[in-house]
Amino acid sequence: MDKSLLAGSTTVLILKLLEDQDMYGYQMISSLAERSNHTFDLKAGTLYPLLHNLEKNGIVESYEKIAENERTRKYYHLTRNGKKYLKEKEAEWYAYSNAVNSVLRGGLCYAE
Amino acid sequence: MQNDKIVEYCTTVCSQIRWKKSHKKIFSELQNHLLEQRDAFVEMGDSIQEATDKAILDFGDPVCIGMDLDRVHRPKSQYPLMILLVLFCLFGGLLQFFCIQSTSAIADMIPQAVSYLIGFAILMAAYFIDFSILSRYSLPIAICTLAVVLIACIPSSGRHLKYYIVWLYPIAVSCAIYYFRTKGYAGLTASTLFLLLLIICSLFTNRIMGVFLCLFSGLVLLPLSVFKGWFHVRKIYGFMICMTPCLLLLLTACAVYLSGAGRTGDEYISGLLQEIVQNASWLGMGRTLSSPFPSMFHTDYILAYLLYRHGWIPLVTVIALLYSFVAVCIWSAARQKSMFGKLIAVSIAGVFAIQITVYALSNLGVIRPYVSTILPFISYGSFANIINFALLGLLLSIFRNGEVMDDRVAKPILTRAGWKRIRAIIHYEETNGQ
Repeated sequence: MDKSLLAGSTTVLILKLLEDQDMYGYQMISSLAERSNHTFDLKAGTLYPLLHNLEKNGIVESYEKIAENERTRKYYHLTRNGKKYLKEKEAEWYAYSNAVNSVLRGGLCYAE
Repeated sequence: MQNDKIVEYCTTVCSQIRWKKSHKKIFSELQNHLLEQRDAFVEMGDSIQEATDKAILDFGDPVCIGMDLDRVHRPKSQYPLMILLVLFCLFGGLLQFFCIQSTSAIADMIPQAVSYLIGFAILMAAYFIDFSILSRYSLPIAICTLAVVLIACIPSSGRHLKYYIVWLYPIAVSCAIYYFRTKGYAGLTASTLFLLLLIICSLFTNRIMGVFLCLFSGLVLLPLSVFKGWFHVRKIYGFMICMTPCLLLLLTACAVYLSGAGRTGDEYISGLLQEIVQNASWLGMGRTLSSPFPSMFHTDYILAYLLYRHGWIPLVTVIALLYSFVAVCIWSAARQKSMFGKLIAVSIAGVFAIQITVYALSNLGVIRPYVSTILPFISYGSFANIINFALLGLLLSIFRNGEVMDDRVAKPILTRAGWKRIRAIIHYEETNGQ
C-alpha cells in the first residue's frame, strides 16, 4: 500500500485506538496492525514523535504504570479536548472518503 | 551486550534533542518499547541478538527520529511573562517617583532601582535552575523553614526575619505535603500539624500576613492534595482533618475583627484613606483633601496615591492587570503534570494573590489596622521585592521545565488494612500447607 495514504490518517487512527482504552506505544502498534489486518504497520519511529506532539497540544495525556514484567510503561489517555478533536477529524475523514468514493465510482464523464 | 545496542540506539536518538532535561523520560520510553519488541521477537523464535537487531531496524533511523522529537520537545519560554514583569516594575518606579514629589526623589529611588536589578538577576538564575532539586530535599526545606520561624519567635531576633520568612510558608507546607504524600492519614496529620506550628508562630510574632498565608495553605494546598488523592485517604475524612483547624482559625479571626478588638491606632491614615476613597473621581485627580497627601505614601499606599491622583479607572485597570497575571500563573500551575510542580506553583501564585489582595484592601481602607505587605513589583520594598523576584523566577522555572519533572517515588507506609491482608495471606498459606 502507498505509505502516503497512511501518513494523513495516522493521527485519527491512533486517537481512535485510545478512545476505547488507554494504551502504551507498543500496544498501539500491535493493536493497529491487528485491527487493520496488518494493512497498517506503523513504525515506532513515526508513532512517538506523533504521540509526544499530541500530548504537547493537550489531545492526549500520559501516566506511568509498572507492568507485570517490572518495566515502567507510559500509557496514553485521550483527554476531553482529544475526544472533540477526534470527532472533528472523523467527520473530516468521512467527508473526504465520501468525496473520493463518489469520484471513483461515478462522477462526471467528459465525452469528446 | 544486546542491551548495550539498545542503549546506544536510544542515546543516538536523544543526542539529536537539544533540550537535555527531556532526555531521561524519552530514553526510558524508547528503551522499554525496544525491550518489549525484542521480547516479542524472541517469543516468535528469534535469538536475542537477532531479535534486538530486528527491533532496532523496525524502530527506524535514530537520527531522523531524534530530529522529529527535537521539534516537539522544547522548553516553554516564559519571556512574555518576564516582559510583563518589566512593565510592572517600570510602572511601579514611575508611580513612586511622582508620589515622592520631593527634590530628593531620584536619590530615594536608587535603593529601589538596585533591588530591581538584583531581583532580576536572581530571577534569571532561578529561571534556569532545575527546580526538581527542591523535591529531593523537601523534608530538609520544610524543617529548615520551621527552624527559622522558631528563631524568629525569639524577641531579640531581627525584625526583618519575622517580616520576610512568612512568604515562604506556602512553599514549606508544599514541601511537607510532598514528603508525606502516600503516607495515608499519618502523613496528612503530620502535614496539618506542621501547618498548625506555623500558625502558632505567626500569632506569636503578630504577623497577620503569616496567618493569611497559613489559611491559604490550609484551605487550598492541603485540600487540593486530598482531592487529588495524593495522601490515599478517604476524601471526606481528609478534608475534615486538614480544614478543621484553619476553618476554626478563620471563624475566630472574623469574630475578633468584627468585634473591633485590636483596631486601634492609625486613625489618621484610616481617616485619610476614607477621604481619598470618598473624594476620588472616575478619571483624573480627586477633590482636594483636608490635609496634604503625604509623600511617604509611595511605600505602603501607592494604590491610594493612584486612586487620589488618577481616579478609579486607572486603579481598577492596574488591579485587574495584576489579577490577570496571577490568573495566568494559576492556570499554568493547574496544568502542571508533576505533583511537586503543581504544589509549588500554586503556592507561589497564592503568595502573589494574597499580597495583591491584602495591599489593595488596606489601601482602600477595608482592612484596618494596616497589614504590612507590598504590592508585588510595583510598591516600594527592596528586600521584599527581591524575595518576590526569586519566587517568580522559581515559578517560571516550573512553567519552563515542568513537563519533564519526575515526581520521586515515595515509599508508602503499610496501613492497618494492608497488615490485615498480609496476615490473612500468611494464615491462608499456613493452613494450606505452603
